[in-house]
Amino acid sequence: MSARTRWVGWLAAGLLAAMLGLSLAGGGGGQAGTDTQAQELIRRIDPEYEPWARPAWAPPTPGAERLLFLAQAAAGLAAAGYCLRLLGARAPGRSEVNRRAPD
Amino acid sequence: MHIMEGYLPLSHAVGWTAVAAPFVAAGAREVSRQLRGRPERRLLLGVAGAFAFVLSALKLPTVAGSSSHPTGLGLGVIMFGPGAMTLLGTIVLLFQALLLAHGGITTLGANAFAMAVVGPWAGWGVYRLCRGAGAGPAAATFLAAAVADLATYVTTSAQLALAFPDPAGGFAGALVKFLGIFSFTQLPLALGEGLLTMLVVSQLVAQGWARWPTLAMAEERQSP
Repeated sequence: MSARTRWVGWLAAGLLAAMLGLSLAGGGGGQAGTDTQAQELIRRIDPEYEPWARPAWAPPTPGAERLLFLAQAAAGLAAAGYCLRLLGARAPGRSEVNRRAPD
Repeated sequence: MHIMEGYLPLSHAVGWTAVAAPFVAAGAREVSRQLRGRPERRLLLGVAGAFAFVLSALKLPTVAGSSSHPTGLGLGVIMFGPGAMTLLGTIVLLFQALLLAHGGITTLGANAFAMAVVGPWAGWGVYRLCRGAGAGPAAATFLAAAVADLATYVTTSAQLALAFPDPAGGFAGALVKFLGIFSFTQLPLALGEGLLTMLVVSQLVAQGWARWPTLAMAEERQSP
């Protein structure tokens, strides 16, 4: 692996870690989500509008909702890690690059 | 960008579902077509789906003091084209509607049209445009992912403005207000998503697990 490749890899991992950290630290905390702000705007534009359907199930607390979003992110990271590990273990002769015609 | 359950009038909810459904069906066929005879691509598709799963779960603070999500579809758009990401994006939205009460089943069509149809196709269009104009693949990927993110939120704003026109300013007045919530604040997040997508695709290419799509591959992936 070249130094440049390693550098790009670390940069990607660092940026993703920063996004995860921001999400953990503040994104789901006291700030209203844009979805909530849009609902408030709808109520201002059309005060008589009543949502005609409700979610069958909703997280009981904002903390639980945050936890579920984190679980989604963790599941995604685990799936990505699994796929990348299998890709890495694959013999070079079977990689996509070698199976396709050159440009 | 999720329009919450019941927050679109019934006629709009049905209309957007009818508009999005053929794209989702075509996306399922496209995934099947791309994987046929090339099972090694399943792992890359898994990475693209997982990337969308991770990024769409992040609630990031915006410059306006609110919080919003990236969409995470740019990576798959570059690797598999927009059709495949229509299917994956809709699966992510369905998961969030059912398990997180984020978005909704009644608004799934509208949300899918914004995030899984318009976003990926806008990103794909930008990628092709940039490559056609001579831009490098990394720069084209950065812009494509950022535009795919931003286009999603602009579409959501338009959908809501159409359903809830401003009493004084009509559709245009409401659009400006919804754009103020969804789009202007989304720009830094979109740029961050573009940068991360560019770095991840660069890494996949450098490892020899993928290759930058050429314009010819773009044509192939776009064909029905």
